[in-house]
Amino acid sequence: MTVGLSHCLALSALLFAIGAVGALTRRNILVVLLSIELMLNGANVALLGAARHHGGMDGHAAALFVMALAAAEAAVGLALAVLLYRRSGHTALDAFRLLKG
Amino acid sequence: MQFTVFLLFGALAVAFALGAVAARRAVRSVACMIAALACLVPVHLALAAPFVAIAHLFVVTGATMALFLFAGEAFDAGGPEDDRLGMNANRLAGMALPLLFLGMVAAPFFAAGAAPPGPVDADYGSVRRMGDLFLTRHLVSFEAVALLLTVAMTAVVAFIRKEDKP
Repeated sequence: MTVGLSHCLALSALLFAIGAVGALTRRNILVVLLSIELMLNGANVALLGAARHHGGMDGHAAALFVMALAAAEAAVGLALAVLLYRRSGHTALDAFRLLKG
Repeated sequence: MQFTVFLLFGALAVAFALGAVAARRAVRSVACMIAALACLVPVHLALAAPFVAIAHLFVVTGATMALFLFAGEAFDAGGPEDDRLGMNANRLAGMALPLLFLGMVAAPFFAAGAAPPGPVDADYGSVRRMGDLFLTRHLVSFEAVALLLTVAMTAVVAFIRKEDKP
């Protein structure tokens, strides 16, 4: 039996849904960032599966772009998390309720 | 063989992803996430994407998760926090929306079935093909990603510098 597009989509949807649950239900900024990372990796599985199914390699290029996007998101998100931790002493997203400069 | 690898490591990735989302301490979340991302490397290899798999291993599982691990250790120093959402409606929406998404994905899954992929060239997924792609069709996107990373790096430095002011 070979890996079909539907298998890739199923795995991708599962990872994306788990990430979405984490991003929407947790309030620790680190776990929220990890959940977003999980959603992006779920999307990557779908891109690679579609590329394999159609025999092209544009999906591989898109997956690498998503990886770069995830790295940028992690860097900026962690910088915000460190700022939040310095100011409030905890990492709950409630501290971002007031975004005064 | 490829299907077995895909199934085994895909299931492990899902299990570790659940652990990452459910763990109470940030460090445990990061540890589970590293395991989940490492399990995705064989999945990428099973999809005939060796270059993406290696990039995923070094960039996402290695470098990015090392940042998360350091941050998690620093944040966990004071013990676990109460991480529950205050509003039940938010939590309900957080559970319902992904379930709705899964339902939407399930329909084409059952409609498409498990059709086998078509044949590919011998150098499919190779570094040469990736290089050709990045320096021809996706050159503008490649440059845009470089710009995005530069902006992100500048933003991080700006955040930290602003905080250092008295």
